[in-house]
Amino acid sequence: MYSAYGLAIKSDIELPALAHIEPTEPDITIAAATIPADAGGKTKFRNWEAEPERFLSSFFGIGRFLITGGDTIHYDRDAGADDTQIISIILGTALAAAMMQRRILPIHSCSVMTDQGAVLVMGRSGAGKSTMLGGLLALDLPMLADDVTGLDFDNNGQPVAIPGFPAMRLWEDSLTKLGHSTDGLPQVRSDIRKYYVPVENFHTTRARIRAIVHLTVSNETNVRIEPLGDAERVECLSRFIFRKKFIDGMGMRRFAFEQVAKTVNQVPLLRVTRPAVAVEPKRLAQQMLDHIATAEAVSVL
Amino acid sequence: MTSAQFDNDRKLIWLASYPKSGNTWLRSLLTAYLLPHDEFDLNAMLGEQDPFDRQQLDDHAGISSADFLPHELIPYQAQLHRDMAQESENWRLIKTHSAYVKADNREPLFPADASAGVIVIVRNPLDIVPSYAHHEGKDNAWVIAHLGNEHAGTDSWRHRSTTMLPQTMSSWSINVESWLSQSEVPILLLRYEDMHRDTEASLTKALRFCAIEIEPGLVTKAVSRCSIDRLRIDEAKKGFNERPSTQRSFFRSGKIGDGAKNLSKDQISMILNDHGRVMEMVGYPANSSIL
Repeated sequence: MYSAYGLAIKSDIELPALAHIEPTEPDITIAAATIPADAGGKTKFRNWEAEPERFLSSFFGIGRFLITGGDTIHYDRDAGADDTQIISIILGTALAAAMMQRRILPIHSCSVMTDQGAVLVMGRSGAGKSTMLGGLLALDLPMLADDVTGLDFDNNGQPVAIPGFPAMRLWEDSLTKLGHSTDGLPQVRSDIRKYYVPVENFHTTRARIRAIVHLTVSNETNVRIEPLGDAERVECLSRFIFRKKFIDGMGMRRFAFEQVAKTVNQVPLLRVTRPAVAVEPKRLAQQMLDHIATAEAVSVL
Repeated sequence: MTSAQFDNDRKLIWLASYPKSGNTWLRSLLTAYLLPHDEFDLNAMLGEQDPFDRQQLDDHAGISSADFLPHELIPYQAQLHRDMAQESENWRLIKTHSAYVKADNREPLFPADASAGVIVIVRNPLDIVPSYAHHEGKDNAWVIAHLGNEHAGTDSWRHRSTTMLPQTMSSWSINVESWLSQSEVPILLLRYEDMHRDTEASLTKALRFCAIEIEPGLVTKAVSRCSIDRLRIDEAKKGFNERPSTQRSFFRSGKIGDGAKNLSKDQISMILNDHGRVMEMVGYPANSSIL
C-alpha cells in the first residue's frame, strides 16, 4: 500500500517514488486488466475519451489506461512496454484523472510549507518551477509537491493544498550539478536519464494555502513581482489545472470554475517574472517569500 | 507550378528549412503582405512555431512529453497537427527546422491530411556556415560538423527538457532531401539566392502557392518593408525575441557568396564531399571550381 495526495493506494505494480503505508481500505486501486475496446466515454478526443466518472486514454506503444469512479485505475499494457513507462503514466495522467473524479483539482505547481501555510508555484513547463523548488528547499522549507499539487477545501470552505509524494524528478545532469549521485535511484523511465530523488523534508498533511504564484520568464534583467489583477486571477489559475482538457471531457467544467473562483477569492495570487539568465535559486525563493510577507503586512494582496 | 491543396482538414502550410536559410525573412515578407494594414512588428510575425510548444502538446494529448523519447512524441504531434488544422478557421503558416520525419509506425510528423503544402527554403550550405556560426557563437569547424550530423536537432532533450519540443534537423543533406523526396505534401522550393536576386518574384511564387491573389503594389511594399537593412534596424530598435543571445544580432548582411570567402580549402572540400550531391540537386555548383 502506498500514500499520495492523502489517498491510500493499493497497486499491483511497484511505485518507487511513493511512501509505503500499513495496509488499509484503499481509496484507489491500481491493477493490470484487459480493457475492452468499447470501454471509453462519450466524448472522443483523439487519444483519449471521457464521460462523467470515466476516463480512458491510449498511449502509443505503452498501453491503455481506464480510470473510473475516482477509485480504480486499470492499465492494459502494450507488448514491449516496461514498468517504468506504465508507472510514469500512472503517477501523472492517471492520478490526475482520478483526483478530478474525487473532486480534487490537480494544479500544475510545485509547493512548499511555510510557517503560515502552503505556497504553490505554478508555471508552464520550462518556466523554472524545479529551480524555484530547489531554492525553496534550500531555505529548509518542507516540500508538498514537486509537479502537481492537489487543491481542495476544508470544512470551513478554505482552500487547502494536498501534498503529492516525497520525491522530485530530476535529470542526471541537474543531480550531478547539485553534487548528488544517481546510484540506487529509480529511473523515471528506463531509457531516459531522469530519476526519482527522495525528498526527506516532506510535509505530509493538507495545509491552508497562503499564496499562489505564477512563475514566468522574460528577457528583463531584474526579477519583477506583482499581484495579479482581478480580471486575470480566474483565468490564470484555470490555465494551470493539470490536464485541464479532461475537465470538459468528464463534464466537470462548472465544478472546476467554482473551485477556481472560490480559491482566487480567498488566496492572494501573484506573478513572479524572472530573467531568462540564471538567477540564484535560493535568492529568488527568498525574494518571493519576502514579497508575500510584506504584501500580507500591508494587505496589498 | 504545384499549388497547396486546401480543404476543411488541410489548412497547414509549413515553412520548412535548415536554420539560417531565409525562413525568418520569408515569414517577414508574408506577414508584411498578408497584414498590410498592421504596423509591421518583428516580434509578431506569421509562421510561429506553436505546435512545437511543449505545453501545447501536453495539454492536447494529456501526456507529460518530457517523460517521452523524442521519436515517441511523433504520433501525438501528428494528431495535434490534425486537430490544429481542423480547428483553425483559416489556413495557418507554421515554421519548422525539422526534416520530414516519421514515427516508428511510419506515421509522418507532418501528416498529409492536415498539410495543405510546404514551402521549403534552401540556401547554399557554404553560405550557411558563417551565418550559423555567428548565430550559435561557434566556429566554422563546429558548424561544418553540425551540417553533416544526421542526429542534429534543436531542443534535443538528451540531458534536460526545454519549453520547446525536440525537432530533428538531421544533416543539411538529409533535411533538404527528406522534404524534396516526399510526395505526400505539395511542395514549393524557394532558394535563398533567388529570394535575394528577385525578392518580388520569390514572394509572388510563395503567395501563388498559397492561392493568394497577387496585388503587385502590395508585393513591392512588402519587399521594401522587409529589406534586410530595415529588419536589422527593427531588431536594433525593438529587439527580436528569436535572436540567439543579447550579445549577437539575428540579422546580418545576408550576402551571397560570403561562405566560400570565409572558409579554408579543406573546409570547402569537406562540405562539397558531404553535401555535393544534394547541392547539385537544388542547383548549387558543387565542383572543384569553387576551391
